[in-house]
Amino acid sequence: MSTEILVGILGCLAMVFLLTSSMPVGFVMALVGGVGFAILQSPRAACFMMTTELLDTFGKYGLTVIPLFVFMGQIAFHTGISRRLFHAAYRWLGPLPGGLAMATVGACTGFGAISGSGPATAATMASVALPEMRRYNYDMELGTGSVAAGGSLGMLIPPSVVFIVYAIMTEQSVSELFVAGIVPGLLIAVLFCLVILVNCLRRPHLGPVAEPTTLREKMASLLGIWETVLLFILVIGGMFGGFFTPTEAAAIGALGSLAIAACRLQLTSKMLKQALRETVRTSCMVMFIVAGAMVFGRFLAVTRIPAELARGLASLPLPGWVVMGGIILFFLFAGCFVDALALILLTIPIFFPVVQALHFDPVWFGVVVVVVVQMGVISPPVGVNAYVVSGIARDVPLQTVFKGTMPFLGALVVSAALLLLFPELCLFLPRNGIRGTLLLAVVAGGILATSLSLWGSSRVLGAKCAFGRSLGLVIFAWGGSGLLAGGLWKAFPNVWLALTACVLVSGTVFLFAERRRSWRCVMLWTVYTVLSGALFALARLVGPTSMHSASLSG
Amino acid sequence: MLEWYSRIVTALVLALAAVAGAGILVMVALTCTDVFLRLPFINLSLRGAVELVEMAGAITISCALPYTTAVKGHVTVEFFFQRLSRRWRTAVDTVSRSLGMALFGTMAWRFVKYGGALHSSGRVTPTLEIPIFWLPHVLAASCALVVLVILHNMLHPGREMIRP
Repeated sequence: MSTEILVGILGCLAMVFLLTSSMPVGFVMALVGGVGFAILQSPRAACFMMTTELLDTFGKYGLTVIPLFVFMGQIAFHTGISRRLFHAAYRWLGPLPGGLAMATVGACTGFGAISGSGPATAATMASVALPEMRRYNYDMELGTGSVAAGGSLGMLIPPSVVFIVYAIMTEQSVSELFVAGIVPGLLIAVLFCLVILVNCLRRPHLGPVAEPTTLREKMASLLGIWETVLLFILVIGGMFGGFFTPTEAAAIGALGSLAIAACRLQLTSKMLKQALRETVRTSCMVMFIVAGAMVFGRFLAVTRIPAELARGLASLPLPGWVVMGGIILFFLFAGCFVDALALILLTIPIFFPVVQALHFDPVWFGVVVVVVVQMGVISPPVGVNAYVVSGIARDVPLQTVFKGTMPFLGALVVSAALLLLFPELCLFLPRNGIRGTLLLAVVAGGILATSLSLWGSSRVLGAKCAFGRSLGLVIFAWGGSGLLAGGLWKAFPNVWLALTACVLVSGTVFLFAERRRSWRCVMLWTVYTVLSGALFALARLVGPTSMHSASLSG
Repeated sequence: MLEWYSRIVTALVLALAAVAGAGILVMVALTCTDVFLRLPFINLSLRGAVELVEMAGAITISCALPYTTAVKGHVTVEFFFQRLSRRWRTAVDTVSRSLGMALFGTMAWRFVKYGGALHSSGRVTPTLEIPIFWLPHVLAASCALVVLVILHNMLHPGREMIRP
């Protein structure tokens, strides 16, 4: 073993030892990296390397995006956007079993779209949602669990600080990573809602049904989410559409949130001071870890450990997915003890060359790693989000919060497995640009239209209402199914896969919507399926364009 | 004596935090101005906007460092540390804080040297040709203040110097 590798291994051991001493993670990485570099090169070279690395990192244009996004999220928080998001989600989902918990997940998804931090989202939602859940006699195990788990979505849904840092460290596109996080984020949100629904159907006392709301109230509540939609379109749309760089998008987003606060007459000097203070603290915390990781990365590069490890693992007589499985298991285990961002920064210099050597897609790897470390923020012993929620709901013991997050861990495991099996889930949007986004919107619109019409038709037919209304709903359903079929066809060139997906979606929605399962509804479902299939075949005949399908080797 | 030390260091930390906050507002203002000036019907650009934003970013994070340390805002791994006995915790805490002070003390000294080197070489920014030797001096001052904050935390274990 060469001296460099020996010093490198000793450096890694020293780092683990120092980390357990409660010394800040950024300080440890800078200290070990600097001392190790001094041993292998010279103290003078180490000092020069550290000063230039720190100065370069603090003044790097690409990294100025972090304080700007954090500032945008802080202003949004102080303007009460989170409260309005929750109330809108509550109007729509409240009347369902466990509806308030589902509304919390929905609001966390929305707030994640303007805040880059998981714990910040959890803290915000805990103060908004938990009092409402208490009012409706919700079980606090479910309540606190859903807030802690929902808060973790902030790490995945853009803009995400973890993605920005990963992109800078691995020289990937921030926009691509942001867009890659959208579908997995929404998928996890849906899985979280399913977990809540299934739990509450099995044990109704967990989440009693809240007061029903009228359609007028539901529509009126949508006025409360316009700021979030506007900021999201402005920031992510502008960035993904190529109008702004990430830094520019963040600055425009920050200005937008300031404008919203001013329009609502909430932009006071006290609020601005609080937002700036929190922004300064969070940004410095993140940036110092990044700077420390840069110094540590330089030391590791001199030891040649990452290159040797990558070569060794790539030459093993094992398939790439086995090595990848090992890396993911490591993240899963270490994520229980180390903060998500710090863990990614600590390990990326070591694992990223391995990922490259095995020809895995770096964007896909980034998303998978974030989903895996997301489990760490809600699992014992150091789940940050659980601590945050427990700190706000002081009468709920920490173990109750952790118990409440357990079912959501299952949902995260399922989503991680889906991402491993179907990399297109995260790679489809970044690889297909605006066209892919529109296509996804078409598919989502199709699903929504089909679901609504199935639900509406079964109601109308069940009540033996007017023929005209039934016909209108059938036409609506037809259009929806057509959109769904066409969109799926364009997205997935495989005919049978698209057809099966279409039938499965219609069937599942039907089974959930119609509890009586009368023969009329069975016939209706059959008609829809046939119509979907026919439209699908028509779409194929009219002009099939094969889409570039995201590929993943390894 | 300790009270005075605490007051002076707190005032300095808060002053630097105010500069950091102003830096964020400057970054927003500069970047947005640049974007608006680039609109098709205006078709102008703010000369040197990128390097000004970079400078503002460096000042922001440098000046935020003592404040973040004072409010104990850095990420730490507490799980294993909390399981130690009181005596061991004190010993480990003293060693880790001393290492932190050594790290920032060395960096403050090296930043002063680096700033001096940049001054003598006359290095400037590429577009606006602004001298940059003063930036390492800002970082040096910030690192020196971090040493004082860590010393304060060492003398008053278990509580933040400034409440966040």
